[in-house]
Amino acid sequence: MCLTSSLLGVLVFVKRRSLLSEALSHAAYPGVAISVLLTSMFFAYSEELIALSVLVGASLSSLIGLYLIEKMKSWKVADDAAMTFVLSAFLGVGILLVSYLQQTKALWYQQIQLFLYGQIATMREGHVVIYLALALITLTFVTFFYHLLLSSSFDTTFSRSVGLPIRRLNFISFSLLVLSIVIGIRSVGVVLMSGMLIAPALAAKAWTASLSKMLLLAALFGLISAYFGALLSDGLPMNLPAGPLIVLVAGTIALISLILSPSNGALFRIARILKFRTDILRENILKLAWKNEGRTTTAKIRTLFPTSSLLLKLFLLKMAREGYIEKRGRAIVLTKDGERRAARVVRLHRLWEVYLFDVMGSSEERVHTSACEMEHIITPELEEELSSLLGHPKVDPHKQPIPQEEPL
Amino acid sequence: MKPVIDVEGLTVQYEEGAVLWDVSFSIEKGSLTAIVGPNGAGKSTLLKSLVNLKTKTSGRIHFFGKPYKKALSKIAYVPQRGCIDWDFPITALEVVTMGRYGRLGPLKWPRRADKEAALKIMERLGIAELSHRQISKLSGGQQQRLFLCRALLQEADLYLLDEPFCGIDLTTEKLLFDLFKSLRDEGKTVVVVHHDLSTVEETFDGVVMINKRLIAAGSTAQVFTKENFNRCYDKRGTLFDDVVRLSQEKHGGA
Repeated sequence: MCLTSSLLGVLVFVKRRSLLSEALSHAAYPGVAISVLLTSMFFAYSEELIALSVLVGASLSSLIGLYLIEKMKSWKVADDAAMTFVLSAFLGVGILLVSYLQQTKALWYQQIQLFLYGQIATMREGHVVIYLALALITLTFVTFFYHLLLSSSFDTTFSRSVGLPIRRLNFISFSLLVLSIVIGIRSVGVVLMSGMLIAPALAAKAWTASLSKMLLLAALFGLISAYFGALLSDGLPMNLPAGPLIVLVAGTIALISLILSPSNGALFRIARILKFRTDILRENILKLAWKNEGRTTTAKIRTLFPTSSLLLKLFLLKMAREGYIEKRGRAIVLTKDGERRAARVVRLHRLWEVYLFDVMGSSEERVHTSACEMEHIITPELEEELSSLLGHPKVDPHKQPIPQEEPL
Repeated sequence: MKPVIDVEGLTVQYEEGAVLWDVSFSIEKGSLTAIVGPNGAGKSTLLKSLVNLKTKTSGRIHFFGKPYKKALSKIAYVPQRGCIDWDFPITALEVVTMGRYGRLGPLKWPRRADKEAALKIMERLGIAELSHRQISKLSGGQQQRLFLCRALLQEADLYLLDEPFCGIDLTTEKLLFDLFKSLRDEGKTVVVVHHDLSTVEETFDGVVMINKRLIAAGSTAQVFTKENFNRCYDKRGTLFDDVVRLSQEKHGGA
């Protein structure tokens, strides 16, 4: 089940319709209640019959909810407002019906209640077989039709213009989505179902930029969540239901992914910021020395860039190891490499000043501040474009010479 | 010879008002045409209604003498960059390879030759090193070149581009101009929604000037007259907008 929902969840997620899964699962609840109610009125108590009628009832109820959302949009109701309304209204109606049933038909009531938060413990072999079948169908669908799905999710216009069967594709995806939700709520419950769709997708997105890898990762995370959720439910001393535990594990994986992801997780982002700041300090020190005939002292550095003297000493040692400077007594002297690096920074600084002054019409005072920021940022490509745009200038607005590129 | 695009009486009307009104013009094969007009003139809508992205209220549009659905394979459309979801998990190479989809089997699995063709086009437009990057990691000019690569891979006879020169660097601009000219020289037809009037005369053979209605269509020399400019950029058209909107509101019970 988790495999199915994670895969389909990715597709919903990348199309930015995650709220839809929430709306669908909540809207299924009154359907569950009504179908059980109707069944109880005409038939004797039978778990198989209930399971079947719930399937039908939940699907219908979900679809009615969806239809209502679309109708509301055509009445000029905002997208999110319509979804939230249907989501809570349907759930509310469902809960009302269920409390009525609680008083009149207690035995049947039990069967409905477990759809709110799921109850894996009482599921049977029949359920497992259905889950497996759905998982296999979804897996096959997503694998075979991968490129079609990629194209239609990313650029519907283009896909239509090359004749892709968008309608049929969307119909199948959507049917699988409703099916997976309606079948899934037996184990994870109506309230938490959308978590099982979105959390693995969210976690996967943090680690990759390709849809195929995202699907694989989401599936993996889904399966891991299922395994550990069930394990915890079994292992922990309290009698906790497995469904919510699975969602909890999935959510934790998502949170960890968001923090630890190399590309945009919080941790790495902080690390990158720190590295950038030290790069800036390094270049500023080199620049200072360059402007002073290639030498400067620790004291002078401290006056311009106040940092603790210990940290500065360590950093200067690092710079010496990197080959940019040499320590000679009390002075710091630039090496040839240091000179080159410093010259480049100064060049970028003055080029940017020319650009601001000539092209953007800034005043002489303002160009300096901006250049102090940009001199650490401009890439070699931008440098080339900048220089040719300005006609390879030789002096900056303050009449200082611009270090030229070294001939190879 | 049948014109490549033949538009007759195109009207597009929404609840917000009339966007296009009774527009008729035709574009010949092997030409480089600019669609110009002030902001809100309906230039993008015109292009979108050509490729069935916007429903037309009335009018007839033919491509190579046939309706859009029958001429699909010969037309490549490049939308405005603002319409793309740049955060989508897709790489540059994957986007360009989509250009070959029209020619693949039903499941659209690209073969090695398709990927090589995609890379070659990307080389030609100078973005081959970016092939494995997620698309949001490209600059404005690179993004524009990316979608152009996809369009070129479609090997269409007609290219429709919506504001391709918006927000790009000088190098890309020059590249695009040269590319359009060589496509035209090869006998293809290129139609561009363009916002920069200063570059029209030296580059484009033909112009379609619109401001909700057609002001003029024809060769650049014919269309680029003071009279036409005055008519195009005057404000007399807004009254029409208000009246149409009022009528729609009344019919809708407002």
